[in-house]
Amino acid sequence: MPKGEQRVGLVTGSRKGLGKFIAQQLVACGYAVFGCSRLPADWTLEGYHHLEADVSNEQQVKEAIAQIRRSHGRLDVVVNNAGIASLNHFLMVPASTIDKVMATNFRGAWLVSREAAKLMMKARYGRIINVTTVAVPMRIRGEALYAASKAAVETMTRILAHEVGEFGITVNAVGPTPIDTDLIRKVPAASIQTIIDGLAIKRKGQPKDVMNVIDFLIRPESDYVTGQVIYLGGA
Amino acid sequence: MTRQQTIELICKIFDELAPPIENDPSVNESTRLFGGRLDSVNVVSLVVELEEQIADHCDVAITIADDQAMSQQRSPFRTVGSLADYIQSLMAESTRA
Repeated sequence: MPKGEQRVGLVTGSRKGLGKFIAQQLVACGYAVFGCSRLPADWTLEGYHHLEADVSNEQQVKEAIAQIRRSHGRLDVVVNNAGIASLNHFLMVPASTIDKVMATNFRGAWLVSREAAKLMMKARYGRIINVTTVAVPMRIRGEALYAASKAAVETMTRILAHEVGEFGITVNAVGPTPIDTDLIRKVPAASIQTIIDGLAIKRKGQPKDVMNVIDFLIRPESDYVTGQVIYLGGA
Repeated sequence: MTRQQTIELICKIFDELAPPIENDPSVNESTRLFGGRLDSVNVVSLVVELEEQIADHCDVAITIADDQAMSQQRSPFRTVGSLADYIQSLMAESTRA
């Protein structure tokens, strides 16, 4: 496919786990895929380019998007997947942890969306997908900080949809259930079971469940779907 | 990039985004950004185009964003001249960093 015609995607937090899976799936769908994380990736794939960037760092985000613009001149899909979890009683959460979680989960999604939208609006086409969590609607003890950071992402999703809709950009969010990745490695099994018990479909999620929603949202035909938050598992 | 070159760049992009018709006055330093030929969407596009061209031509990555952007009195987006001044200050800041 000649340069300029191939669709281009960016997946944040693609070094491992869900982000790695999404990046690989987008490559399989024919996208030129950029991924980013603070550390280098220990995997490679033809069609995948890894950028070392901290999503909470404004200059690093600007440079990453500028690199995509210079090399490909377009950006069709962004998946704001980078995130960190925190499980603690709210009385025990240090202020530094609040800053760290909000910086990656919320500020990062904001900065990446902002810079990506600037590139997308010139083409009057774009799909921004934010990854949230079922912890928002399920109000799970110990997840106040993580859920609050993702609730902020959901509100951002709904309002951005209005602000960039006229540029042909849609903004949606997908809320996975617990998936076996590093994100939940430190979460006690009993807590995971409590979440699963509260779902309509009582099982852990799989990366393909998330990709299925992303597949739908990034289709050109989904240009009338925006500002939506889709939770998996019937949360 | 000098202040005058910045003004010229803003005026050029302004005209591209909202080409003048018949009796429209030409864009200059004192032209207001909001409320004239540009609508709010045009202003957003102007900012994006400016950031991109400055990055490409001056190799300086600036973010033209400001909490006062929507303010009529204190916004750096009041006029072409005030925006040029603001861009000059951002570029100087970026060079110092």
